[in-house]
Amino acid sequence: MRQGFVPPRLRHTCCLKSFDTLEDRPAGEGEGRRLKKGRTGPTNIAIAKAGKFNKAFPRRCEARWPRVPFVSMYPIRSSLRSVSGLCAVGCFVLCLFAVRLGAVEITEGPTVEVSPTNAVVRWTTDVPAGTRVRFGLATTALTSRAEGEVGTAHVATLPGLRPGTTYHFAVGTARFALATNSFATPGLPAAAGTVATPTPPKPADTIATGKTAAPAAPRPPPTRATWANVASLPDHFARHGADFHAKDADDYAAQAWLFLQRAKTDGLPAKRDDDGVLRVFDPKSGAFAAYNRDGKTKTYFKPGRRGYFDDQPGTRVDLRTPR
Amino acid sequence: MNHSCPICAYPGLEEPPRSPSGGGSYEICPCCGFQFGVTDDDDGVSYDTWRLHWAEEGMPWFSRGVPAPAGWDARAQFAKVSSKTSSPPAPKPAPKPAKPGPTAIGPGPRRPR
Ligand SMILES: [Zn+2]
Repeated sequence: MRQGFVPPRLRHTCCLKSFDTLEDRPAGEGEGRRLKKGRTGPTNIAIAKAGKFNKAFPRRCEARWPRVPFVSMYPIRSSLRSVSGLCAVGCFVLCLFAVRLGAVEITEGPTVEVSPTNAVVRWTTDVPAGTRVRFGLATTALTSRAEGEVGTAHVATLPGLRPGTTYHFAVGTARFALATNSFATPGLPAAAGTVATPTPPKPADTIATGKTAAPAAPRPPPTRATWANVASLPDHFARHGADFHAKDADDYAAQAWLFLQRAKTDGLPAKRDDDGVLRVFDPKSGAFAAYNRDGKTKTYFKPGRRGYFDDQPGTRVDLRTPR
Repeated sequence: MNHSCPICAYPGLEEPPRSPSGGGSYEICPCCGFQFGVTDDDDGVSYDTWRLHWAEEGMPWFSRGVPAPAGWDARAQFAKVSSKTSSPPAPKPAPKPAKPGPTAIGPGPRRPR
């Protein structure tokens, strides 16, 4: 197989994320603020009601080969009388078979052999494919890469690692991430050569979207259990969802709930009002949320005015202190 | 108990627009779309301004999630508020002087704590 040739089934992988073509521009970035901060009245409402939040999807990859019409126009009789014709028919049948099977898949691994400053990642695929590992200190920052040979048994060496450090990585081809995982390098120099036992691989799209929560992040309950007035949620989402790049109302509600959990963990500034309403603000991100006494969300947005949280009523509370 | 919207007179708000402490309810009026404590305190839009624009737009029902009441008559509802007063009750000043919003419409109504 010549270098650069990609079997048709590898190209027919629309369900996979592409390293090179992925666009992670958050939905409607900035547009929500412009709408909201237009300071107009119902005109602004009408725009917001139109729901013009851009959805960003990774570009679809297309099956570029085989080109069935080309093959079908080939003179079948003459091809059967010649070796080249037999090859053409054979290739056609193989390609149809390959496309039916679907995308390249990992059959084993990835496994990681780590030393304090290097790691060797191995995996196998069901068909020949390229070898690329992207790695870094966070799932959203896989800034380094290592490559290997085209084949079904893939090996890539990750050089220049720091001892005693956790790295996240994604394995795949030059275009597609097939699996993600992480490993930790041992400290100097005792445990060199040990074989890491990585956790089960995660779906490839978790790193491609960059929206994966931290591993220890709690799982949000259903929206009806976290949002105070569920009937009003579509309106809050339409108005404020773009502040957090929420992909839908449930995602928006889940982020609001997670914000409260993070506030309790990180001790974000918070105020408790006489009626039990809790107001939380994150000076770093500018996010603000209000919750009823029972913890259900009233609203969640990013104020545009400085001092908004300071002007809110209530008594400062430390959420890290058990109440 | 439902509460009336001070902008459009919609009588079905879930909460009073302002708590006794002066905090906004953050409720978005399903009829006119005003969000108490946000449209005013953050966006700096007054009740009068919002009402004027809402009327100019033809008084459309705002909410996607809350349906309009059966037989809802925007003009009859709006007549209630316009017959009462042309402007909302004058809000008392906020405990802390609010910085003006980034646009020139002006500060929103505030209630005391
Ligand atoms: Zn209203």
